[in-house]
Amino acid sequence: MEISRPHLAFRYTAQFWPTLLIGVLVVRAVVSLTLKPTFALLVYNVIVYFLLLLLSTAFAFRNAVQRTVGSRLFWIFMAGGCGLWSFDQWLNVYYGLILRADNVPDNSVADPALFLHIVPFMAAVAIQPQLHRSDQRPSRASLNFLLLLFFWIFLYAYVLFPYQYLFADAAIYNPRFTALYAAENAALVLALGASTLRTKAPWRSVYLHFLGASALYAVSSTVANIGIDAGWMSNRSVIALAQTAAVCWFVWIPLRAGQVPLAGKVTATELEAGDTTLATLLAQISVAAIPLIGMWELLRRHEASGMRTFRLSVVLISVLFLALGVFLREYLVKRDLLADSRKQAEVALRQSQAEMARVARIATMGELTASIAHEINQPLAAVVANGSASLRWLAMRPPNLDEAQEALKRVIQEGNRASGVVERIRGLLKKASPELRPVDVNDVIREVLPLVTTELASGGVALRTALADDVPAVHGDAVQLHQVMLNLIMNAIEATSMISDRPRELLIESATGPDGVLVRVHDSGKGVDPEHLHRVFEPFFTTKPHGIGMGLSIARTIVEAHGGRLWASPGSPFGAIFQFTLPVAEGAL
Amino acid sequence: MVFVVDDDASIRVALSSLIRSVGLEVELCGSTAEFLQKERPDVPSCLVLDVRLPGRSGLDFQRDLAALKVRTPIIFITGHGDIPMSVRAMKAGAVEFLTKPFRDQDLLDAIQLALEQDRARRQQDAKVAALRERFASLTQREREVVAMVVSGMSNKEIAAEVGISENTVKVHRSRAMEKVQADSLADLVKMAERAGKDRPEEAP
Repeated sequence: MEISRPHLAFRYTAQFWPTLLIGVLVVRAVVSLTLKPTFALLVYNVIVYFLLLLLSTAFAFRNAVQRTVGSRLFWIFMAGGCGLWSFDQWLNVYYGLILRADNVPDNSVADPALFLHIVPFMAAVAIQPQLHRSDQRPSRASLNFLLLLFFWIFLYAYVLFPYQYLFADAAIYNPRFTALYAAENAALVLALGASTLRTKAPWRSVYLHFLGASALYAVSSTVANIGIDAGWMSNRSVIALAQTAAVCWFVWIPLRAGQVPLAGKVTATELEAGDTTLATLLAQISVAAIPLIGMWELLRRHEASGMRTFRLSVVLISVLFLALGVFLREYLVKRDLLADSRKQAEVALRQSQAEMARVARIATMGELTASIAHEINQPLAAVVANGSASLRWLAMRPPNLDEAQEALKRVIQEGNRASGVVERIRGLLKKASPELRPVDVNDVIREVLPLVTTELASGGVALRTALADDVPAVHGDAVQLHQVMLNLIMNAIEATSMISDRPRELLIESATGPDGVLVRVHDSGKGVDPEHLHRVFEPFFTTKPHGIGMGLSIARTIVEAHGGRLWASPGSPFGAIFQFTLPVAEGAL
Repeated sequence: MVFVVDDDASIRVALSSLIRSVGLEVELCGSTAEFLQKERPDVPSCLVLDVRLPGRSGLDFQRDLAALKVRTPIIFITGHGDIPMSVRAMKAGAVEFLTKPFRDQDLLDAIQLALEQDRARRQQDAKVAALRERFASLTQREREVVAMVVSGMSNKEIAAEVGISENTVKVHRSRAMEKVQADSLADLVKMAERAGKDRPEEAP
């Protein structure tokens, strides 16, 4: 039964927490509903509730630390909400069990803490890890959170604060708290409901649990608050049990998230500008709504003047903060949009450059077909000849096995050589994004030369190479550097093939210079008109009857993209020199 | 003896193996210059020559060899042979023009043919050389008389021309025929013709 063990272990961890949570709930139910309400029972209930909240905070925090469950911000906000909630419950523990007070006093920080713990949950919902990539940026998400926080603090300060502290009046305060808290919970449930509909698997399951837990809590806490206000609520009631169940469910959310793979990549295309403006619109409406509330306050004549002054101050301060927040948010949105569009433009530019370079490469390959055919045909001819020779050695009486074996070895060698040529050509033709790695410039030159042997021969050009042995590696894309070399050599051959009064020569040199590696292509051709020396690198500038004038322009783009320089100068006593430098790869010296 | 001139070492080695497999001797050269420097033994030989070579092409080299009176038969091999190129090569006396990759039998047949041609030419050259030797043994007067006989003059006309008696002409003539081993007047005319042209300057 060795095999089934890992499976059992998995089942154990997967089933452990749900079983435990349900167990806690069942024990809580049995204890509350059967035992008499003693102080010990109260202690038990309050502590279980507190521990469950601590547990949910811990698990959400764990998810935030481990990146494996997707959006880190989502879990930071979840942990923040649960933490604030735990703090509120800690005050319950402190006042109820340590101070042995009958109730937590109305003017403690318990109610603001309870009230505001919903706000991080809202911020977490707003992130929607699978939908709003733009809102997943920490700056934007934090600002969303701050806006939400300001708004609910404003409501709290406006609706509840005066009756809690300034003109403390439990009769007015308690029902108002109940109503506002219910409204806040309802807002969370509504937002969650809307988000759940738009969220796809696998996050959907997390959102569904979040929705269920929040809805259960919203209903049970509202009823409980009404019950407390009316005086019939007790820790033994089913309502208190439902609250505990909701908290158990909150513990389950981060655990559930750990079971489904959430770390899916979000693509940039999911950036939804429309949602951003909707969020901005809502923020603007709330900014506009606050002064309206302020005006209404001015019209209410029966309020105490202290109350009115306080509330108007709250309105003005809130408008100030919310306006600042909205402006800041707008600024960030614009900045991000600008950065995105710039990035997209850069990507598009790079793509079009790469595509252009590839087209130029293919055009060059077209000019090189004779060379390429020869490069492939040569090893094939050797394969055929070696194969035939091998058969003949074997057919001898007695067979000459040594010679046959040698010939067959050469068949393999030549087959590999042919496939190497094909590989190199495919590299030049393929549509690949540049791949930067250490490249030996001498290798680049040596690999390009076989491709131009036919052109050299038919142009009657004598080639000389002077490659320095100790050239350090450069950081670059071998295919693109091939292209630059091909272009320069083909140009040189074309320039020399037009002359007849002196030897047609081509000299290719490599050396190490102060700017890195230097490659020089020197031809004895007709040279470049001094006034054209700079213009030859301009796009569509050409002196050839059939050229399109892109080759050197692309070559310069490639060299400069590698951090190097490509320039032309007159050769001495005649011809032209095209040379380029490439910076040495780090660590190559 | 087969000479292979190709700048591609792997082709050289492959051809060497193929040619040796039929029991022929082979010499490999990476360039035409190397071929010219090589000592060429006085045996029937042929040259397997790549058309595309660095510097002067194989076709140019064929002309160079003709100018140097090197008459080793040439078999061309090329990667991309077009018709004008092959026509030019064959007109200039090439034995065969093969496009890579070629059938082994085609190359070996061409080599056999070339060697046969070279052997025949060598025999021919040897005969002419012997003949010339015989003509060389003639005295000044005998040579003079033979030249006039061959040009169709009668003994009488020759005697008048040279200023000797007709009988003396007859003596010179019969001596000369004896020396060059000519059986008849027609034979002598043919021999003089053969010895006169195709002077192999290459021969030692």
